[in-house]
Amino acid sequence: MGRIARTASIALACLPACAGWSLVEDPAIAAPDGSFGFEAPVGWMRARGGDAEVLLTREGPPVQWFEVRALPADEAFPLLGEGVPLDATPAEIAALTITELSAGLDPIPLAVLERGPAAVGADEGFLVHGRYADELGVSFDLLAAGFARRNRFYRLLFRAPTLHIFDRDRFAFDRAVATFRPREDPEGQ
Amino acid sequence: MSRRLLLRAAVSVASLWSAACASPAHRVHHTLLDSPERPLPTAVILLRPGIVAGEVADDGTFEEREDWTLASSENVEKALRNGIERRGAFRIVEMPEISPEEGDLLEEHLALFDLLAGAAFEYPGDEMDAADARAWRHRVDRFDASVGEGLSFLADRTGADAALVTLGSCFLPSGRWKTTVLVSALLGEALPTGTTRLTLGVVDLRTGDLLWIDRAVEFGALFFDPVSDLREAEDAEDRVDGLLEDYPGLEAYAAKRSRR
Repeated sequence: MGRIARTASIALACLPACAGWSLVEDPAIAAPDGSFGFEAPVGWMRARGGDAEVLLTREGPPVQWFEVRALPADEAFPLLGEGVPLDATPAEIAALTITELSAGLDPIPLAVLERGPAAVGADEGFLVHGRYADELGVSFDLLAAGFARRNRFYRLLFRAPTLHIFDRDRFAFDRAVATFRPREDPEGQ
Repeated sequence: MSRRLLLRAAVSVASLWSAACASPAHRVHHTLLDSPERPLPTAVILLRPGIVAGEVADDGTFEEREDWTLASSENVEKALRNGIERRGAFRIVEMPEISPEEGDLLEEHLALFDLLAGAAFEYPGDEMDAADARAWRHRVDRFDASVGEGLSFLADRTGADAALVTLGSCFLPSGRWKTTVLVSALLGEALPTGTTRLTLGVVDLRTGDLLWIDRAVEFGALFFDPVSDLREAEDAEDRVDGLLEDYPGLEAYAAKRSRR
């Protein structure tokens, strides 16, 4: 006799709050506060999010989920209670990102398939490719990219089922990484 | 069908626990409606239904009872065979022998099917406000979900065009849960007594396209509106027939697409 409990993982944690949907009709999209912009796939759906975040999916958050956020650098890793250390290298930020993602998935283990430096738009950043199985054994692939600039940490996070969907939809993440541009602030903020 | 997949079906229901009763509303892959029309499958593998059944325990969680699961699965499979034969919708092809590795592959595809079908009925879904439902409308107009091409080995092995996937759950209230529901009602909180869910899907074995899916979700209320008990052959037949009536439902779906 098995007892069935409701559980949630980091990948689905945002679901109850997702509302205010709109169809992406123009590929050039930006955070509501203008803190960054990138190219998104036309025909995907955008959820209303915070001022410094863009939330996207194609078929619904349980299937594929793509979130892009600009976080204050000193609050970059809220689950760890840490920020981006001064003069941190992309590799160090990648390590913190993996720890943060793992904390969000806990107790589900995150297997890191690939990690390394990567260009995010014109900035030097990192790329992490991970994989985990949800509570019921469905395998998801996860991509994270980001970089820190001045007092901000920019993070792009995409996850989709490993089977069929991830390979089909990861172009959205790759395109966003290639076209990502943070707002240029004349005051250096 | 593995325990994990059965549990997924139950957890999917758990995620709907607070939802209102949803009416059946099928989805049809857009290529069956667009010109030139794609032919409907004529030979379909009937996959063993993945049903989990049990009680709503005292604390409102779901507790599986294996004998209930077995009885419900047998009733649903029998109802499917009868319903398909009666309608002559397609020829049933029996599931061939497969290796453990192929079994794992099938499980992965069924889990993805469950995820995609669930999303299809929630985006857009009955719980959305009107503006969100309108924004998601294109997913109904051009439904294109697919599990990919990984099940083509079943087509090679059998000559079948498609597979009929059946996932579901049936959780009936324990005596103490009924008491909890009654007390909650007196305090002004409406809780469902039980829930039964059934999802059917016809999946193209070559492309992985979800050609047709339909779902029925029931939530029971106190003293009336009991949910279907899939352990009972008659209930299982009624529930399965209700869904098969919508197959393939091309004209009804085309009309639904054109209503904006």
